Amino acid sequence: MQEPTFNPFSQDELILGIKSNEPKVLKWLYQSQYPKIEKYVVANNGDEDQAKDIFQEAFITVWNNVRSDKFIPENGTAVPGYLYQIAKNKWLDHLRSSKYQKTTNLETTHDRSEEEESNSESLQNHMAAEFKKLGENCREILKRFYFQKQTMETIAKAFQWTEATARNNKYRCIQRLKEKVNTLKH
Amino acid sequence: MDTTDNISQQEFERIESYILGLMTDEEKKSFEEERNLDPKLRANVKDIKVLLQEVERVSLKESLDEYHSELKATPVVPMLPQKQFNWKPLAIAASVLLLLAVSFWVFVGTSTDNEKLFVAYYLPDPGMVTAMGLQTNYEFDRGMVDYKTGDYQAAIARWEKILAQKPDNDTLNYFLGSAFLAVGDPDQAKSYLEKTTQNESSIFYKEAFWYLGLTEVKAGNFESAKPLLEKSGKPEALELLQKIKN
Repeated sequence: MQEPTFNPFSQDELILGIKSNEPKVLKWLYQSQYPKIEKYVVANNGDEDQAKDIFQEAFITVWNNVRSDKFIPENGTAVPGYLYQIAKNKWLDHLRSSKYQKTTNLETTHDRSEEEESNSESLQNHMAAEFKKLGENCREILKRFYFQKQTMETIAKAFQWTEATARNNKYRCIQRLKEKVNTLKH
Repeated sequence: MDTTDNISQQEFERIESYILGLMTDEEKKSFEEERNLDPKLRANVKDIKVLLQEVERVSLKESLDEYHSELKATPVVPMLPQKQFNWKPLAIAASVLLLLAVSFWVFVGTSTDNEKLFVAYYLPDPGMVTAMGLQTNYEFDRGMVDYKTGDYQAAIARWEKILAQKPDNDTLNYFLGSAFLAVGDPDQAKSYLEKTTQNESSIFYKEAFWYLGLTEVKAGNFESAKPLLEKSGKPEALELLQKIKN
């Protein structure tokens, strides 16, 4: 069972916050929901590291589904409840996987259709690795623009560049990433 | 696929603006027509789209790790019941309380009577639940998220931007006033709150009088505060009126 949580945001604010990567909303959602999943995983043959992995995977699934409008909330606890349910399901899937076949008396199966169609996990891992290999400036500029949705003007100021330089650097960083990913494909 | 390497910056920015939804309807339409006829452009759009999504996802993952280590370092949200008694949070709480007590003492000790009264009665408006969906309210709602998390400066920055289009909106004026008061700028607050009180049908009408009254109390203008507090109709206002009469 899920414990009631004090929720400072309305459902609309949560949805909007997720769609715009509002750090306050993302952070609240993460920090208010994680302890429950850790408790659940630790009580069900897992440890804290596994809880963290499963929860972050679930978080990204929820983030994707909210953004693609696959998930539309119905009531006040919908988003946190949805996150909790997905994380729990992912953990149950993990327990059911070959390594944990012995564990049988765990709850019912669930509908997988609501979760992401896991698109090529290996590509995602490569991308993450390549992204980390980019220079500090490249990572920062891409993160600021595509994730934090900062304007080029703000970014240029932060780096003490002109806006034209900032745009050119962004382009070059993307090119570099693109080349690396393309070589991987072949 | 090999042909998608090495596109110009201009071409990249055009594709990017399509993916991020920054094109006008007209630009979008002609872009899509072109894309449907050009397999190379189609491949580029697809590749760049995946790339940008992944950049966003990897950035999110980094943020999640930050939230996680923060959570592990300082238990800010209610944690699970713990078996052994953990002294650390208590020690932190105690030092925070001590710090608060000291700063309160310093503050109150050096402030005047009117400021003491203001501090005793002032509580920022907790903010409102926003009903989003309308495009036009987007900035306002984003600002409300800032406001409710105590980031009043960020809220002010967002709201001031939309004030030009809606100079008479009572909700906007009221919360701008409230945010300025919260950051300790009663003069700015006053002008916005006064604007709110010009609209008698506003649901913030009485609240606005209450906060206006409080700004006068803070400034030591008890005579000007009286009629404002009376109009607020708040039970605390009667109490405060009694106090400033003496």
